[in-house]
Amino acid sequence: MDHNFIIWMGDLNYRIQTSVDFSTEIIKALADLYQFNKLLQHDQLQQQQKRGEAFTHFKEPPIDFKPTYKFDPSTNSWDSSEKNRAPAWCDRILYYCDDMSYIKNLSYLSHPEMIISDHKPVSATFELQVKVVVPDREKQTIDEISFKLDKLYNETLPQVELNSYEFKFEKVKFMVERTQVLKVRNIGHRPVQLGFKPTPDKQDRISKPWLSIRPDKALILTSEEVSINLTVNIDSDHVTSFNKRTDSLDDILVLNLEGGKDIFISVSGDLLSTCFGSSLETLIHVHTYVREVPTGQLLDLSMSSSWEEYDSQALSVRKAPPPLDIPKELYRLVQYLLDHGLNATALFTDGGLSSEREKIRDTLDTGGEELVGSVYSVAAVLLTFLRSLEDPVVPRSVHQRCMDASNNPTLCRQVLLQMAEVHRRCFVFIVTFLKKLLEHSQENKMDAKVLASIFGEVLMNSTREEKLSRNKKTLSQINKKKMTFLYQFLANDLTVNYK
Amino acid sequence: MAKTYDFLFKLLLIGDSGVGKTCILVRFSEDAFNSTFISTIGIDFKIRTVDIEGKKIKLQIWDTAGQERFRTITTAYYRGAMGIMLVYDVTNEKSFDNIRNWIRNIEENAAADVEKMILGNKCDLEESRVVSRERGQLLAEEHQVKFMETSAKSGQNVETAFLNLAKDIKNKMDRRNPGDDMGTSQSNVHVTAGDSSGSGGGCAC
Repeated sequence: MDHNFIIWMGDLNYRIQTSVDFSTEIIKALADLYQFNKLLQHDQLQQQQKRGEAFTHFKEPPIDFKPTYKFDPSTNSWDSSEKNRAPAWCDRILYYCDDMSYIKNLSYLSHPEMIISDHKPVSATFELQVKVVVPDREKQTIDEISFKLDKLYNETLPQVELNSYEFKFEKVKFMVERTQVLKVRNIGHRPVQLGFKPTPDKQDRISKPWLSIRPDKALILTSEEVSINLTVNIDSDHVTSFNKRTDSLDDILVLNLEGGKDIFISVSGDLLSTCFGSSLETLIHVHTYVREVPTGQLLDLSMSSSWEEYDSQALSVRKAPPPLDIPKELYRLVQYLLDHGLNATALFTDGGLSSEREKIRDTLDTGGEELVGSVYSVAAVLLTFLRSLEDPVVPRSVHQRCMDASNNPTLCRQVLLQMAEVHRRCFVFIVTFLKKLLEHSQENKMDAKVLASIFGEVLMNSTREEKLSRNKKTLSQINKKKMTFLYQFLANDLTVNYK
Repeated sequence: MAKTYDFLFKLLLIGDSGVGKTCILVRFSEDAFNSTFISTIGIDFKIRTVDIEGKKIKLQIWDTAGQERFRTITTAYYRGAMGIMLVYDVTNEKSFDNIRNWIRNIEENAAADVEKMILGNKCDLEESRVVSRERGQLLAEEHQVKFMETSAKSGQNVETAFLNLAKDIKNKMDRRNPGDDMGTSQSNVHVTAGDSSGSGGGCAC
């Protein structure tokens, strides 16, 4: 309860400690001689107060009256009963205030004239200084305190310092991972739990699919720092949307400090033009090299009705050369394998070296003279090229027909006729190459089934969404049919007129 | 710890980059001013508890990045706001013209009944003023919202503006809950300390 003063009074029942040397009779004699100081040395209350055992912070006014107990009732004579009680100050008045200067004792008395009890009553008078609340000043003070508390609260909100709010990834290459480090230092007064918030523009992801954040949660103690890797990797799954300009190397990450603010971190940059993720229709119009065509114009190439239109607008007035039969990138990769890889075992499963694959992809996009690297690396790049095409060599529009026809070689051949010319040409080109490999099966240990399985998947690649939306069993049935479709071409002579 | 307030109101400051949103907030929450321009890159908040008609009202005021490139992200924060301050700079015509766009943003993203107020900030810079007080007033009338000219630098009207906005929110709440005993009830506040999630205000009304 709210209070400023305590007055504690009553029959506290403290006695004067008797002993062999300090008998009841001596106490009575000293009391009658007003020798109160000698008696008070043996007062149990004062002894306990000194030892800190009771009423430690309380004060009692000085006692200048006879012990108040025990009298024969109706007299002023000490107890004369059989028990012969020693006199004692049983009846006491104590007081307390946080600031004792606000309380002043004026009197402390006993009243021997009262004789009805075996006790004598005690009384005390005090002068107290009592605080009075001034409403206006109270409100002002509360406002001031509340303002200070709010300010303190605001100051203890999580605070961090970043090494940068903007991260620029320039000239990113297809499938080449690039990492920059976001450093977050806790400069506040308490530990900070940080995380990244999903945003609606990213379908409730914390970053675009080609950007990874590691770690994406961390606890930072005061004055400590964490490093967060921001890694950009534009692979087959995403490159097409860059080529089609439905995505760009731009993202805003929302870094959240738990219980505090959100910080926006901008990621920007550009992807170097690449043949990967493009379409066969576009690539046959690129006579130079892809890196010489700005990413945006690659799209114009595939959309313009004729090569002339693009040429007159963007490059020169000279008569445009006719489109290529097949993309030169595909031609170069396959030709290299025909020249150097016919006898290699595990040609498409070894994978080669990532450094070599990067160089080979670069050579395709920049027009370097020679492909440099092992046949395994070249073979892996060929599979990536085919897998990342916007529309696979066997266009998605005929996948169902291919699967339906897969058990019947004649029907398979008919599906081939339904494919757009450039797709058909590329398909025949690859089938011819695979058959060439099979002619060397003694050396390279490959058989038609293995090749059909590897190439069935890349030549008739499902979209990411298709892969995610179907269950494992359905997917494996689909893959089996695609493999069978291709197998018909490897086992039979169905492409003879298209060479 | 016992709750030190009766209601929590979530307010939002929006407007072009550089109009002084952060300065207004710092003036209101710390009674301070710093003329160095530091662009807000994100969403930050400060709190201040005020007394309105005997009620302790905790204002949680969110300061938003004004830059155009963050627009799509910042509008996601409008949803939980109970009051919005639209701020322009009286020395910057463009920031005034853009108030219409900001109002459209509110209409598209904030709660339909959100309380709004237009603030023409930097009114201490009389010599470089390009937007008159009258034009500000007219725009506010057109959109039927309150209007005030403020100066985060001098402190003029900053406190009054926030108190007015908070009062409007409280009045609306009182009208909705006429049976509610405004003397003692804290039952319609459901907020945990340090709540900063995008959703909810403080009031379940």
